[in-house]
Amino acid sequence: MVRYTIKRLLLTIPIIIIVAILIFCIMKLTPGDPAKMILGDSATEEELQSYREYLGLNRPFLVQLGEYMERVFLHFDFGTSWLSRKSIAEEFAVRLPRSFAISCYSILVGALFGIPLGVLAAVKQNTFADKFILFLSSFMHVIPNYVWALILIIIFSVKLKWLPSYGADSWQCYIMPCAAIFIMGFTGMARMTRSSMLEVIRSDYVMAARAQGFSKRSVNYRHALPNAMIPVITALGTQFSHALGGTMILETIFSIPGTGTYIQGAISNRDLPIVTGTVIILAIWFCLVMLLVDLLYAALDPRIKAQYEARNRTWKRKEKEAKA
Amino acid sequence: MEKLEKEKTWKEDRHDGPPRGWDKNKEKKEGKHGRRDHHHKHGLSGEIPGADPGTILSVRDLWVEYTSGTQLIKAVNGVSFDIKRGESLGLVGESGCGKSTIAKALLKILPEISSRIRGEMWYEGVEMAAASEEQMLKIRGEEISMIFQDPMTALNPVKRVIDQVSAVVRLHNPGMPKTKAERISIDMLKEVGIGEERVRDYPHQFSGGMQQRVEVAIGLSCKPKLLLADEPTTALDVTIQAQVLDMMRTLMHEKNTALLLITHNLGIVAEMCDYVAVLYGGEIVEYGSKREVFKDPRHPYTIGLFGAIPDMHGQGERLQPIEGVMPEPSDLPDGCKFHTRCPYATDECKSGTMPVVDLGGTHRCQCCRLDEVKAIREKEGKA
Repeated sequence: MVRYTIKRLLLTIPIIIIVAILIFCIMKLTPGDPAKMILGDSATEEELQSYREYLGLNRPFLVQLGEYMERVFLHFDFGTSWLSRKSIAEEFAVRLPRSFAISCYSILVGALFGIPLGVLAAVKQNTFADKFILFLSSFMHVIPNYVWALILIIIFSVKLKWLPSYGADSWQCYIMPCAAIFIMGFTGMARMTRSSMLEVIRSDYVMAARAQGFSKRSVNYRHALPNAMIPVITALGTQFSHALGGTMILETIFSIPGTGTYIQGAISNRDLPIVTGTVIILAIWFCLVMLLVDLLYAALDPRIKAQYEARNRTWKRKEKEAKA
Repeated sequence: MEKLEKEKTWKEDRHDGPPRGWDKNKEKKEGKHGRRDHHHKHGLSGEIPGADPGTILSVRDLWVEYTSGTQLIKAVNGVSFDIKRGESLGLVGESGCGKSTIAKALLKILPEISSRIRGEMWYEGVEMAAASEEQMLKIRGEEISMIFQDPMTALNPVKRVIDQVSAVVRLHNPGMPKTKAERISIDMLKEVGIGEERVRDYPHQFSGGMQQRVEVAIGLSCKPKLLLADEPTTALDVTIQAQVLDMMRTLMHEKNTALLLITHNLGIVAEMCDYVAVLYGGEIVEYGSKREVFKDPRHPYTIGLFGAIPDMHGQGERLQPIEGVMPEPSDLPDGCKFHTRCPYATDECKSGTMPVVDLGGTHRCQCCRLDEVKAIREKEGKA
């Protein structure tokens, strides 16, 4: 497993490099003149020219790419924003905890509610409880989270005036954005758990466990649940991997200065270094979360673990033993 | 408690208390299910169920129905049989005839929501069809255990083999320390031919034959008095089949375990069983000792089954498969369920109930044209 982990970590390096090259190229190909964008229409041609010089936009493309790569991967310097002149890494680090908190809380609470509800629905299949949970989750799931955000704002900020509708200054600010994501997240989780659980409950080994004399409770929770959790964990991981960039819309609605609004603002202002830098950071995050999910997967399912374990080593050991 | 009561009213013709006389029971039922009375005689000598201390399991007029959407699937239609201590009964039939359903109904592990069991299943003086879940928990695994058809799917893929065996041992021996349960499990696995060095492996690391051995070990780990084996060797190749059967026979002999062997393989029945029940369309169409049925098969379906087996001594005649396919259990024909495929069928077979004919000894057969069939076959020189 350790070998596998190291191998996977090493494998992320080329992925990140490819992502970096790609995003750099795409940003270069986007139309529009950054100097003009930054200085505005009133700037003279000389000013623009000197500003382009200053940004290094006049040099050959490959030189720019090479320099950027060197800075990012050798000095871990993602550059500075063209507009605010602030360090991207620093700015990102300030905003990261906010987005991360929103994602983590909503996903964790979503799992905390969604998984038990899904299990309940599966165990009590076709009963009122099951149908109610299914209805509730369908209903909540078809309404997108930004609509939920507006509904929540109308209720809790406008009518009741309990919670602030924008900002990130106090913990109350996080309640509504978390809730909006949570509503969608937990319903998906519940549906997924339910279908996975139903599939497992019908499998032979669960029936065999019943035949061996285990009580229904024990069969459901000790025999079926661990198996049913395998696909759910994967889904949870995917949610986490989208955590940092995926809250963009909600951060915009609630005016939370998180990573989502950072990227969104950079895109609309054509602040290319920010876009390039954050995309690379998100790619790293994505790779790490996926690795974590795969490791969790292996911990849950010995069949997967067997695939990860280094077989070559076993062969080599056997060959050595044969020689000795 | 509430749930229990609900269950009782739901399964209308149940009763608690001591086993009742066969005739009384019949009387009681005739009002509601008059047309089924012929099933009661099936394969039995008419004594009080569970009264004979030699009999471990008496099934009386067992009906199992499933619902699947709007369809009603009649999987088992009034089956009755007995199994004596240490003896073995082979349940033979094509796929879809209700064999596995009977085994699962006996343990009451069919999905409650979509299935219904009616009839009586007497096990050691306990009527299981009306028994509570708590009673069943004591019976399942400890008194009656089951070996499933497909070893690849019947073991939990995320648990080590030793843990799966010892979990069952500990379940039925509350308070037993873990190390002792593991010791017993290791011994049990050794007995079925799995070495100690493999017991900490996961099921996917085993071959199909090894997995089936693990299942046999689990099935026999609590020394059950009755073993339900649902096609225990179907998923295995022939050499492993013989080994697994051999092993089951030895272990059962040692522990005096009775066996209900479900199979479609008459060869396995010949090897393993004392009695045979031939199942078609959820009914036992022929029942008898192995000798009676194998020497003198009388029901056209049984005759057909034997006609589809190659004969080691014959002159290389063409095998005669039974024409057609088994009718869907959701759409069983009236009259004899087999008449759609029976070469001897007449209009007589297409409606009404088929009589159960006593052929002497334990041999019984459910057919209205037994004598005619015999005469025709004699004329053709086949019988």
